[in-house]
Amino acid sequence: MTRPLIKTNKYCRLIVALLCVVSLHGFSQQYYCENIDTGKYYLSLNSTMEFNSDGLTNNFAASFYNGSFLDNSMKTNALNRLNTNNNILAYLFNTDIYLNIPGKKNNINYYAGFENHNLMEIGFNKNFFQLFFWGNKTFTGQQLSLDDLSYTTLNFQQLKAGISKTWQKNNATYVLTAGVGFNNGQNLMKYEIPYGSLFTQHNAEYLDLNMTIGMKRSDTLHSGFGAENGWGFSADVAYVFRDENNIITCQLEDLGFIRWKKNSQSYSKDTLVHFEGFEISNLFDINGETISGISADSLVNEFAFAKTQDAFSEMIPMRIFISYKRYLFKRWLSLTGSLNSYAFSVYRPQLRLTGSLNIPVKNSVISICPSIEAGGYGRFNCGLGVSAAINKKFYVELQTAYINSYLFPKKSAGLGGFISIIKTL
Amino acid sequence: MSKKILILLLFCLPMLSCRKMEPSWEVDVNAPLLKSSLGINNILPDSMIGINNDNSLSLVYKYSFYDFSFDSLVDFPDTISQKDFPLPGGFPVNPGQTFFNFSENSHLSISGAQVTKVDFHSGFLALEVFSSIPEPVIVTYTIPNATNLGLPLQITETVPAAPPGTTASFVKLFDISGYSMDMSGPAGISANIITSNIKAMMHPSAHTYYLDSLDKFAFNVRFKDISIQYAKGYFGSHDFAFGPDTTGLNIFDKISSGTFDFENIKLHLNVENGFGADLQVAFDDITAINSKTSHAVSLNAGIIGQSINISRAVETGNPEHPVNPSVYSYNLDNSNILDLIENIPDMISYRIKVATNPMGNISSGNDFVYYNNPLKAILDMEIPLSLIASNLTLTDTVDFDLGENMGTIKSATLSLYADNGFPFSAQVQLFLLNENMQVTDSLLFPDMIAAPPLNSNYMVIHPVRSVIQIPLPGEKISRLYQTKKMRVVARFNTNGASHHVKIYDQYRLDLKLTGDFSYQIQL
Repeated sequence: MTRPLIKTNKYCRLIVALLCVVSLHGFSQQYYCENIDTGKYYLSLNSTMEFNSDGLTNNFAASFYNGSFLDNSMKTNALNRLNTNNNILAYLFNTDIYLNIPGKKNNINYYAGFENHNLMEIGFNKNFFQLFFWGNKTFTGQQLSLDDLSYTTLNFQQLKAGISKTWQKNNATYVLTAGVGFNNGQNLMKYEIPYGSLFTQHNAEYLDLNMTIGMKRSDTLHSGFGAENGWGFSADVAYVFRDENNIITCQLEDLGFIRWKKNSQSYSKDTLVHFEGFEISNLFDINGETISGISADSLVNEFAFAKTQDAFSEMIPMRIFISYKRYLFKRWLSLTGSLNSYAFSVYRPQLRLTGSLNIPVKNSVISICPSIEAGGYGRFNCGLGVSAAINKKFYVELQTAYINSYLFPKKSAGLGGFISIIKTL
Repeated sequence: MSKKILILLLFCLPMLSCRKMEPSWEVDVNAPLLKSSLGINNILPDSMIGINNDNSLSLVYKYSFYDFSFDSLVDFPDTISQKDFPLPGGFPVNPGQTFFNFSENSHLSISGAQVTKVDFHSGFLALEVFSSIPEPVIVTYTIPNATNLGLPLQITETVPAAPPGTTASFVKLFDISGYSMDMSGPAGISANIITSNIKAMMHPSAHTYYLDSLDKFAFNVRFKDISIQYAKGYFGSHDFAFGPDTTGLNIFDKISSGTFDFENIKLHLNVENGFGADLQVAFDDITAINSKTSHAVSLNAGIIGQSINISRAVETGNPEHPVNPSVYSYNLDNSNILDLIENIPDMISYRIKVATNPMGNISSGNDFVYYNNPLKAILDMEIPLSLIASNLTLTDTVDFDLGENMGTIKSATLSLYADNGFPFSAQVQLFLLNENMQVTDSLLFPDMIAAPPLNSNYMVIHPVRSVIQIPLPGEKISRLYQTKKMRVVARFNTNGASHHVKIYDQYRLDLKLTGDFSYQIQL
């Protein structure tokens, strides 16, 4: 059933606003969690789902996603907001479940878990957007740069296990965590055009398309959840320092790769296509079928690259996370500054500042946490989260970083949030 | 735990509730569509183009308007033999015993001809046998003088047992393609004779049968659908008259109206005799008919009504080209042939008389004929493409199918960029036709493809560019998608006033079609 756009947006916003409230940008809880008794077995479930763009707004994205007609004013508003280069549109949906296993001695803990990653990233520039949504007519007689275009979808699963060691010294705690993972590559599709240009002659008598194009994709025959189209390994390492009022976290996650199997395909080519129309050798022997035929065949031939069918390796997005948290006013308040970044991704370094009002209630602590952030897949966002740590046995956290996008969808982008549930066993 | 799952589901709900549909938007696309470079070789096949010393072109065309084949020359009969035998009664016939053996020399009735040898190109021998014997009988028919790869022609078949009181029969069609048959008789000095033998034997699995005087055994042998690869003998002295008859001429069939005026035409009427027999031919009438205008122009030349003696062809001994035909060529320069051609004929009407071997059997029975080497009457034209065209209108209908209308092109403007190097101006109109060939719409190119400037020798100095814009509003685009055929009408006028202009090999018309589309994209 098709829901009217406005009504659907309101519905989305209401649900998200009710549910997605936050404290801190989510990260895997297996490395360190101050809100749970790490000396016990506990199970954690974390899930992140988000969409963001540093150029397009929620309003435009929702209109596109919901199948609306994108009129000129909507396209123009979106265009005016774009940067000249490196615009990003992406979603990710990551879920993990972990079991923490306390060691018998020496403050050693073990963990094991499963992670599922779904990611789509599009990198484009303003020219491409204009070409895509307006056509080439406005660019006749001009050289149109189409550099740095990319499209990636990546789905993979991980089985991880690790160990953490805790030291106590002078009222300070040091936690060092290290783990390894086995990666199952479900599906990869990656197109890259690092260099491209299009010239339309002023009478449109010819087009010159010049581009460097690369493609990598896994076996498309089986690409559903759990499909085994590649395998690889990864490593994680984290270091946490904590004293009475300070927590410093340094984390390197998913330093690894996937070796996509031999049914995978790839090609890379520099090509210059000069197109003057489909050539008709005998105008007196033309028919419609011929036109249809040449339309398809000739165009395919212009871009027909010899694909290599063989295995190849690709790095998976590697996360680098550094944060500093400072408790104030007898821990009633805290401030956290963090840097989050991904290598092997179009994600840009993100800076985030989170405040937290921590309200003790009996043996529990309820936290309300506003945040602001800049970078990542988006531009600027502010969010809100809430968490409850109950007697260090149960912890729940809900957050969204996109309050501003829900309230002002025509001016900002971002959708989604993070949920974490931890329970001792 | 169930509460946790509920919370997770509620979290996912916002994304799921935003159901994926197909967005759409409009783009303006300006792109080249088609290009073509036309020379005269795109209009006429290379075999019809001759290049003169000054690089100007001529239209070279050979048109065979009359064929006189061997079938016309010798009337080869179908029936070889037809016999009905009563059988002597009262004696037993055992299994495997031959009870009938008959040989004959059939004399074919070929009017006035004495054929001594025939090679068959294709065709069949039909053997039909009737038997009243109530036991199966094996019949063997042989023509020992008809051989293929050294083996005589032999047909062996079983006639089934006849039901009591009736007659059984069978018909066998035997392919005689490639067989060579000597018809000179047992002594080799006769003609039109086919020596054959037929035997009947009681089938080895049959029972002993006592022949009855009422038993009957009959056979019928005939040719069916034969064509002759080679024949030798004396083909007789005959007189034939053909016509008035007409034959189509398609060289001008795309010209629907207007006129052209050629500077001159070189035309010969050639008569090729591929027979090994002397011939005498007389053309009583040759008329060029334009059925569109119902205008007919008869050839006025000295050859009309005159008898022409054409000697026999010569055997080369080369199996690939076994015959060197004898050719009689008559120059029609001093005739009214220009009027015939400028009538733009689509039919030729003729009356012809042919006499074979007018001097009798002077070859002593060595006349011959080979497959595909008949007597032909050919108009051999060489028309220098130096002409004046006045509203010369070419019409052609071509298949056209753009496929399904996706409703995505809202409107368009097509631009035709024509760099014309031919000394013509042209106006083009396209008519859109439905499946029933009814005109549903037309696309008029509002401007003319201009003719380029000419120098004092009436040669094109340089091509001239014309830009013709054809607006296509939405409703016309819809009709284009419904179109199954398109009629192209192009009207030409030579540039050069009343002077003949020559067409040169290097002349070209370069066409580029671009489109400015308002297009609705729907993912």
